[in-house]
Amino acid sequence: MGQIKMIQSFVLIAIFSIAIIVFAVQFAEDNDSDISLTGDTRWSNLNSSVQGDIPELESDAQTSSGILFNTTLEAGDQSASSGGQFKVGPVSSMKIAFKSITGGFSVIFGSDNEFSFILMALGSVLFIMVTLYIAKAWLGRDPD
Amino acid sequence: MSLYNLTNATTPDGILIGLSTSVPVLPIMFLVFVFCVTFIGGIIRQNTKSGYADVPQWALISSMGCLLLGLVMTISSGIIGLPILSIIVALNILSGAWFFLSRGRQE
Repeated sequence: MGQIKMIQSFVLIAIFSIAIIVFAVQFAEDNDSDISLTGDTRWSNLNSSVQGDIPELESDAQTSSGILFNTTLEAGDQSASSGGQFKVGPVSSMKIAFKSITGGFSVIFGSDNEFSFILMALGSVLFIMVTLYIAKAWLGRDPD
Repeated sequence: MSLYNLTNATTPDGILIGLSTSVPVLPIMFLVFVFCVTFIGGIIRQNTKSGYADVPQWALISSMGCLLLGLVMTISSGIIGLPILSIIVALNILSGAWFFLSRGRQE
């Protein structure tokens, strides 16, 4: 998985997580359900923290799309060397994705000390994997 | 003297909520059943048809099916509780992460 595909994955995870939570909350509001996701403090905390990250992602996406639309290319020009216009807020989208995944882990496995080793093991594997992918993509090697 | 107390079977609410009150694990087992049938059945069928099973895709589809059924069950209290709904949503997010990070479909 290359750098672009990885950024794409994190953006999609962030969007999917927001969509699922919003759908569940909105379903409860529309149907006046007795059980609502907003009753769980963990989701409320996650929701408020993600709400703080969304404006950052929005401004990143707007800046990137603005640069992309305003780009002009004359005959004989060199193409852009940085490729910055295609990086749609990788940091902000990764932040939302990681927070959502952590929320999912804490609901299923709990946040007790007995389960912390599972989170640490999985988090370490993910961290090493992401670091290797980023380093190899940065150096221009085959990310696999 | 009856062997067990019959639930009020005159209304759909009575059947669903009465059964859930008598056997609290029943709706949860129903959701697990739907998840397993969709997940395992989808994998086996796709593997038989194409020789390749996209496991993350079936995990996502089956967890989304559970979410839809689970949300309907939350309209009245007494069928499933908030922890179960939270776990279903968490399962959806984790399945989504697995699906979007899996490499089989993309490369």
